[in-house]
Amino acid sequence: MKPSGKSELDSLYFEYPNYPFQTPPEMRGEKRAHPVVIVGAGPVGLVAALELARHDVPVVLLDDKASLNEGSRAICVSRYNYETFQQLGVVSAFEEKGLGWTHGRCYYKEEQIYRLKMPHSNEERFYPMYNIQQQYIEKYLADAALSSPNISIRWQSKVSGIKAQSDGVMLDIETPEGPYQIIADHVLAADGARSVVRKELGLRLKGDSYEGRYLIADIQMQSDFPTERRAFFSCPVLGDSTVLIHKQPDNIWRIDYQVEGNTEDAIKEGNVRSSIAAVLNFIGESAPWELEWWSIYNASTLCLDDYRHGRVTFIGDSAHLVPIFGVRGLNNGIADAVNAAWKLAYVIKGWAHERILESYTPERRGATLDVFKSAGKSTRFMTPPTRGYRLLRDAILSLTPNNSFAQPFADPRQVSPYTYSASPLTYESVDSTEFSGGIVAGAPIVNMKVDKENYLLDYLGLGFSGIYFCDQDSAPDALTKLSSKLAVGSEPFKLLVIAKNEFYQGSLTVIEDATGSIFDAYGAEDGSFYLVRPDRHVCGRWQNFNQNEVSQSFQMALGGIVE
Amino acid sequence: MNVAMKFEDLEKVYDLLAEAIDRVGPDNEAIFLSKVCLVLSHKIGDLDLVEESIKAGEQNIV
Ligand SMILES: Cc1cc2nc3c(=O)[nH]c(=O)nc-3n(C[C@H](O)[C@H](O)[C@H](O)COP(=O)(O)OP(=O)(O)OC[C@H]3O[C@@H](n4cnc5c(N)ncnc54)[C@H](O)[C@@H]3O)c2cc1C
Repeated sequence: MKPSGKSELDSLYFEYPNYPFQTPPEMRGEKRAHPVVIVGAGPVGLVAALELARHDVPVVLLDDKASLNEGSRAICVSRYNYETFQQLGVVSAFEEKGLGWTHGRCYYKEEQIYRLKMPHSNEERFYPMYNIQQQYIEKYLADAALSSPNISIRWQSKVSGIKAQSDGVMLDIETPEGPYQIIADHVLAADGARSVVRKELGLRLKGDSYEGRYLIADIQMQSDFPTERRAFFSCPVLGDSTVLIHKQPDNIWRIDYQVEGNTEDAIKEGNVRSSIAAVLNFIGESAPWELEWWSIYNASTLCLDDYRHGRVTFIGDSAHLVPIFGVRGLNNGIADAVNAAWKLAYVIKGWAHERILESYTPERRGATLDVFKSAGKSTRFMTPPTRGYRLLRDAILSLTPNNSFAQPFADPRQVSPYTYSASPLTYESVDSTEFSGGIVAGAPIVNMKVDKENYLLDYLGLGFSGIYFCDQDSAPDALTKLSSKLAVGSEPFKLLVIAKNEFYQGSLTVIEDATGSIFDAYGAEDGSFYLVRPDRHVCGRWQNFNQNEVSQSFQMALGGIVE
Repeated sequence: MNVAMKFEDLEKVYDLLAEAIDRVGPDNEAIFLSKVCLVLSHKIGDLDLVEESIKAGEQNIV
């Protein structure tokens, strides 16, 4: 919602673009099947399009709007997704704009009771979390998509019907110039929480909705307070409710507060203004401020039973809704998009077996269910549903300053990337139990510092990669021979050798790890090997490189042998 | 008693107590919680520990 007198796309800091409708070939009588059509150019649909385009698959992206989504919405982007943005070639804009952060503060009534510190080391390129408004996220992604020769975005094109058959999908589309139909081999449904595709296919989200409602508001205000997450429990000026404060770029501050009683009253502009004024007064901010945008939010844990329906795959909010406290809605949606897109690209190119697509639901619905597990707990802590839960919550907060055992309750249980252990693409090597530490199969690699300017991710290619750890003065022949067989289609296999002492060997990329910090992070010894998927997740790892097992793991990660 | 409780178990205690408080109702919550403390003290069997715990509970009461 916007202050009175302002229209939806009026903003204190952001200029909404206007995307024109262009007559598509289908409306000029052309008929052809597209390999992939994506419904919805929100952040999730845009990421899927960019990932498909990166693997050289042409994409049609349909969106019903003539601009970007309105409002700052999801503002926290995780390190994992900054790494995704790097792979998509868009991270520089995000780094320039986003505000990285590592710390938080937790207050109970008047007092600060806990200082949150997220795990972070200087060996990592990106901060654990960045604050950036969703408009910017969408803008940077849309700019990249608009300039990609593989992506054609059709704005002002609303999908109103779908006919999914075993050999293809037909979509009905409404436009300012009338309706038309489009045929696709595969459809990615990224059309958000109220997905038309989901509804037209007769599918439903299942799960729970919670009592607690939050008002989320943005204001513009000059303040020197650093970028940290502040959580106020039993905030005395708002009837003992919970308040969260985040800093965003452009002097925008996000103030979320729990709403008690009547929602209709709570969202009235006058009430929003007086609640914000009370909070600002409470935290000692006295600078003038302007109201930008607000909205009401209620926590639920809902998802589809299966994220695939024949040739239609659901990604992002169309597949799942989660509470905002763990900032996983958008973060998990972006991970869905990449996961579905690279697999689909490999199938369309004929590089992987269609079975690879069957790994999408276990991997990404698995991630959703993992969020649900902690979401119930954090929601009950943030908005206690009964007097009993309220007393226990307050007892914990009152114990927190002097009893460290109570502190984990107040931790925000924020997003951490999901490990695909139970995936059909993940390989448990015979000697994987010999690792002490490092990165387990199914987890994403850690983007360790290599030298002053470079990090591991800077060396990865488009396709699969291997990381070999070496304490000799050359890498074994078996390794270099095998790696020439692990190219997929036009995407070469990228082999990195992490060596205690640098050496030269043909065209091998050898990275010196004199301090052993990369060895340590990967729990590696001389001869250890990691096989890595295009989306940075580990297929399998070997304490001692094993040619046969690596080949098997590679085949498995492609869904088996392509006949 | 020398081993601290695992966080996962503490989380379960949190839910169990919250739900029991709701069952006994607001008029009885103080007597309910006092009884639980006495039973726990009896089981711990260590007066010093119980005294320490009472002090920890009294801290930061506003
Ligand atoms: C008001 C609001 C506030 C939010 N606040 C927060 C927050 O504070 N923190 C947080 O983590 N998350 C928040 N979220 C959730 C977050 O914005 C979503 O998780 C995220 O946008 C999901 O991205 P998506 O691309 O899956 O869906 P969306 O962003 O919803 O994008 C869907 C896209 O599909 C288009 N579309 C829909 N139907 C059709 C159709 N039939 N044909 C063609 N195109 C169609 C839409 O126009 C839109 O562009 C908020 C959401 C809303 C709506």
